[in-house]
Amino acid sequence: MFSEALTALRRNTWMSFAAITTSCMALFLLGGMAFAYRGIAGYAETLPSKLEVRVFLKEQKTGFETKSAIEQIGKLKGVGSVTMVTKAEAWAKMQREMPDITKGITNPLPDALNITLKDVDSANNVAAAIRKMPIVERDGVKYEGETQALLSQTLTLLRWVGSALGGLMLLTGAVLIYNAIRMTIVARRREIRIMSLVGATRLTIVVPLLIEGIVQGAIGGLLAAILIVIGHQMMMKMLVNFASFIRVGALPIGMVFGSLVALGAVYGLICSLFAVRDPRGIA
Amino acid sequence: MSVEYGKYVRALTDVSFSVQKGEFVFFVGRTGSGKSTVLKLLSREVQATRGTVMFDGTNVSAMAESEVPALRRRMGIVPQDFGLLPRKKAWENIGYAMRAVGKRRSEVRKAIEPILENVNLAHRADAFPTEMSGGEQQRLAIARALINSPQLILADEPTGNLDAAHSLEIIQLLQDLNRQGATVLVATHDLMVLEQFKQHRVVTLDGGKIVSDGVPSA
Repeated sequence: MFSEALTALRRNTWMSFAAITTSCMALFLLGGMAFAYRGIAGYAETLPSKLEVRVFLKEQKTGFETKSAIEQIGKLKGVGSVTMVTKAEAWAKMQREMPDITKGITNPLPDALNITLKDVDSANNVAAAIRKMPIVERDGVKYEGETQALLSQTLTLLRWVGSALGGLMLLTGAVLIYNAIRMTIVARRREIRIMSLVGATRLTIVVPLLIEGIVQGAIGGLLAAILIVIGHQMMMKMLVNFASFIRVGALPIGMVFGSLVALGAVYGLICSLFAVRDPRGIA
Repeated sequence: MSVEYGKYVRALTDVSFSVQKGEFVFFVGRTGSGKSTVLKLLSREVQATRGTVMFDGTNVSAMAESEVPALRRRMGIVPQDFGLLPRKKAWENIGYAMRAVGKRRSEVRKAIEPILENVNLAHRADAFPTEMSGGEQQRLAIARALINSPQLILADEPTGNLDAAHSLEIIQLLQDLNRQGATVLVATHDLMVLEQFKQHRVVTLDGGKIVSDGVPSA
């Protein structure tokens, strides 16, 4: 049955090529967008929320100074709570999340305070008051409500663009795989007729055709996974050179290949199931 | 039984007959008379619009689609156009059909030679259909119909593409298979063949109706 499917793929080289490349592009767009979305969403989680101000403290400070600063900040109008995050705690968290990046490096992080606000409007006043404090690092007050909003918009855009483009490509790929299988049926009409006349079951007749669809989808998925891995590598290099402050998480390569090949195979199977509804009728 | 294709085409109208086990029957008539439809009714390539088709106690008309493959494995169907695979050798044509019905490779290897010998084609096992004469191609099509050791052989115009000598040879072969126990139904419009094999029953169809049924030599 596999040899029958592979023979059909060879016979319909161009149609198979078109079906494979289109499903590859569809899966690349969907998969690429999904992994980009996952990466950006992960990055967004590491940023303070709209109601959060993060304050980085100087290295040279006493415990008394820190305690006093926490008390002062707690009394500011609009402040809900103040939590101390030591450099050791922050580093341990980062090592857990990004083991490849943190490996072999000594902890560069400062101690920090996480401040929760009661309302967004008080953020500017609170940030201005904290900046004046002597134990706070220069530019050590991070209020990233705007970045959050921008990221949120980017994520929404990615979701829409990814769904729309990927969906369109999936539809085109589906039509092409469907056509490739129908063409195989027409090309093999003589064999299918003979199989039918000698008493071959429907399963025997359609299984090679289903395998053909699965192979086309899986190859498309495999190529899409390769493209995503290459794209990710290129993006990593680019970010290291031009925007080193953005941390791009490592790509789970096994998951990328596994999920896209499996997704492609299921996609090919569904398309070919539609195409083989009545092979003897076409033949 | 009756068979209608669409609203206006009637292939068979109120046709009724029975064939006994071991009989050899010719269905004759002009093109479009319904003789091929009779054979296709038995193999369930065509469904009766009205009436019942019985085969060895089984109602073929009421059979579920999933049961049709099992029905066809009890028959040997020889299509009008031979239906051979041109890129496969003679033995591969037989092997392909056998594999399609789930026979193991070892079974196929053992069975091919006797089947080809049965139709006097063992010496042409490695020939491609395109390298064979019309008579040989027809014999190969008959050989393929024998893979399931059928109780019933349905041959649609088996001499349609052959000259007189080859036509007689093919009917002779079908007659031999009949003598070995198979019931044989042949659709033909070849009058020369009928002239030579007068001992067999002939059912004549015209416009989808049976106009005569009997043995010419009787």
